[in-house]
Amino acid sequence: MRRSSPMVLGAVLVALLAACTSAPPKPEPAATTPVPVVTEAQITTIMTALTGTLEVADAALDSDAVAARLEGPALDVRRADYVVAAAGHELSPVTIERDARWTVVAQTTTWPRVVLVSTTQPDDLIGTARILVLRQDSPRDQYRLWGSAGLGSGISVPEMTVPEVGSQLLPPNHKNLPILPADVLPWYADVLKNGDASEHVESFVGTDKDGMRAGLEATRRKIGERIGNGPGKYEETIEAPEEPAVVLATADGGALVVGRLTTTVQVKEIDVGATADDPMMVRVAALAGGTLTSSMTWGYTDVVVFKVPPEATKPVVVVAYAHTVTSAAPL
Amino acid sequence: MVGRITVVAVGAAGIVVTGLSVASATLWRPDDVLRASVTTDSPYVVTAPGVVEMGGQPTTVTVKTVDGKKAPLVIAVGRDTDVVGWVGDDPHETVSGMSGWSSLRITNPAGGTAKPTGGEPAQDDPAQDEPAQDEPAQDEPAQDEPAQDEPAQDEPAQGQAEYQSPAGSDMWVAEASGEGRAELKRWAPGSQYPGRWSVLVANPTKAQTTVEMAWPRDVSTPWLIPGLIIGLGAVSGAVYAELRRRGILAFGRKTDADPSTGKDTDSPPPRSRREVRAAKAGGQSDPVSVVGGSTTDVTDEPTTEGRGEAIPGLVPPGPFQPPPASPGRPRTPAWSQAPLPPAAPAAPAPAPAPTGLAPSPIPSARRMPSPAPPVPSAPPASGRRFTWPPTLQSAPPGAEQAPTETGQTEQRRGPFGRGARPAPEPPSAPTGAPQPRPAPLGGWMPGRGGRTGSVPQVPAPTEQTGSGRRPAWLGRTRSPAPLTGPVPAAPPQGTAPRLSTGPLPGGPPSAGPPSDPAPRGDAWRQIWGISTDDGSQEDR
Repeated sequence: MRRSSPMVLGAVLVALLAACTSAPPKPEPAATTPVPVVTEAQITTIMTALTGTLEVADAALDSDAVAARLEGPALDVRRADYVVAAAGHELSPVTIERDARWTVVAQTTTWPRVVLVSTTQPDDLIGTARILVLRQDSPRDQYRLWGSAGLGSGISVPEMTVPEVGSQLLPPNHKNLPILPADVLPWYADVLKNGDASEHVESFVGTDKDGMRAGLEATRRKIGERIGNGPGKYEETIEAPEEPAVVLATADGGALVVGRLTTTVQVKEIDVGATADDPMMVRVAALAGGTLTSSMTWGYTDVVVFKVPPEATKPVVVVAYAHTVTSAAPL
Repeated sequence: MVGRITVVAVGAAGIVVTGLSVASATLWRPDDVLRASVTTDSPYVVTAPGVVEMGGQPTTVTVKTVDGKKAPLVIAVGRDTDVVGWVGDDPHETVSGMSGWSSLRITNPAGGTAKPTGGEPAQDDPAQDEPAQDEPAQDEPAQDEPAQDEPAQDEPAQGQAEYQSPAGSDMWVAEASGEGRAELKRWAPGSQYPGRWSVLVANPTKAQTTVEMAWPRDVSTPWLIPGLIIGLGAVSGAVYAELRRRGILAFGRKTDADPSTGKDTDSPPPRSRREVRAAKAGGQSDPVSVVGGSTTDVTDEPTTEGRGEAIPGLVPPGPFQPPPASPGRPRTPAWSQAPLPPAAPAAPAPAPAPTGLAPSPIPSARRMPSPAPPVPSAPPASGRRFTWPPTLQSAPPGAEQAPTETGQTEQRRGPFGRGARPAPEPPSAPTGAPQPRPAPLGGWMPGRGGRTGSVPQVPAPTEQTGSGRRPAWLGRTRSPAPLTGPVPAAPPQGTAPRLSTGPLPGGPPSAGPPSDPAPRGDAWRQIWGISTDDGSQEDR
């Protein structure tokens, strides 16, 4: 008995040591807080990939390759660009700086996901500045350039939540706004079509016309002059074919709505020869197969960025827009 | 005899403890890297939230085919929701944690093919371990598996219909890929990536792959120091006791010894523990079993052949007893033989000065007691020195005397010596002192995080002084009202006054030392998973 005491002591010590070994670590997940869909670093990566894809596709005018990083209106526009370039015209570059200077990142855990990027500071977003809309439609898709739009003259971008936090994605039928986001595009299409006669004209820019509307009316006027008193005919259809691509909450409680419009024009019996020098008609001609005919149709792909204010007393502002001929055909 | 066995037992235990503590810092020292792995043939392996960083940061993830087969393996890191979203309804397995120190636990609702490589069985208990996970993995329909299996069979090229490589997705913040082996090195979300992150490992083939996660670890050896202290303490204690005992025996025996032969007639010469053990084992003396001729008899038998005399012979070199020198052959004292048997002949006794104690019965026996007393007395002295500084300033000499009472000195020593202990001790300390003192202790602890056991002493002396600068202390324990002086705020509450006044007098000295040891104790307790209520640790 006594003799065994050292052994007992030893055994006890071993047992103590054994008992003191701790359990393996357990996962302790961080709190589930809403996070932006991408980090700044990821945006840079995405922009780099986008630029790379464009460079490669542009070099070969490869309308399939460009689809890897472009979709929606942006893809339609770029494919049209390739057709025009293939006809011997200069390919307008899509300049995308890799360093995003102004970003709006959606805050969501579902898809689609959205990132808005501008390559210049908000203060400088005048005229030439463009807003790029990047979307990831499903988890296994990449972020693609959905569309880009030039900032309207004298317009500044709305204040958005910082990208580190992310902006909330709103549903198209979000109710806490003076206008349903889903209504913005159809209403605006109506304003473009009917001008001051539209019942929704007051909802947009009041008496001032935004650049989009003013430009469209200038085109109409120009073509009208061509028609003169002749038998010519000009028809224009403006539609909002789909729901807004993006509805993001702004910092002031409003919303940033991005959507697409399609404008289709039909002209008949028009002296097109006089308009051949017009850059737009040059493009139309290229898309139509190289020549302008007296009767033809062409279509525009429009990307419009609206700022819907939180208060009903203020009009919806067209922040940025793009109005590009993407199709043409003789009738 | 009982005493000797006890001594031997303590000595043996000391050796064991020393050995264990050394082993804990060497043989058993945990690896600097914590590795856990699992083997699976699932096309996708996803880590649950928190798994990536469960072992610390950064994390290194490695995946390789078991048989070295080439396969385009991919490792990606993304938001947990992104990873789960990417995998979607595809068959996959989820790493939900560790099932041991070296194996990952797989939650495998569909396949059941994963086997932790650590040798421990996989635990498919999603309900128990991952109630919070609402990943598709949980409700993965079993029929998805065959669909995946068929095409994937050995024909990756054709099996890709179902498989899609996650490589290159914009959602990943980190990624690695390779043929047959991929490694994502030292990834850490860091502060710039708050939130939940998951790892996705993809394997397009049906090849078995081993997924390993590794985290660097701060390895400490918490048992080493305490083990050495306790172990060596026990050993030296046993040696000391043995020497002392032997010295006493020798002293008493001395008269019985036959100077001419140098033999002890009725008592055994000093023994080493080994000898004792040998004796126990053999039941009878077996001198030879120890160390050649230099050993001494194990038994009390007078039959020892002239070896016993060797012992006394040792003494001569000792400082105390030159005379008994037995010209025979110089030998090391018995006790010294235990550790160094071969060295025996050297017998440069001068070195083992203390030897005089053991072998030379006469002088040593007397000396022993003398050194002994100082030992016990010493601590109190030191204790006072440490604890009193603060009080010295205010407390008159008289007051200082009072506290010398053992109970108090001990307590004082506690806090300064080993910070970890102060907390439990205070209660006992105030025994001799006026009752109110316990209160101050309790009050003080919270204020200082319960680490400054020194505080209690402060009040005690001042109490008795009852003068000058420290009325606050007195007031504390007796009557708050009379309090005056620099610390008027103190009086009302036991704790409050301490907090405010403490720092003034006792602050500097007490704050330093106690704070240091405490965290250390906490650290190793934490590392070893010892909760403070674990008596086992404290008992030792």
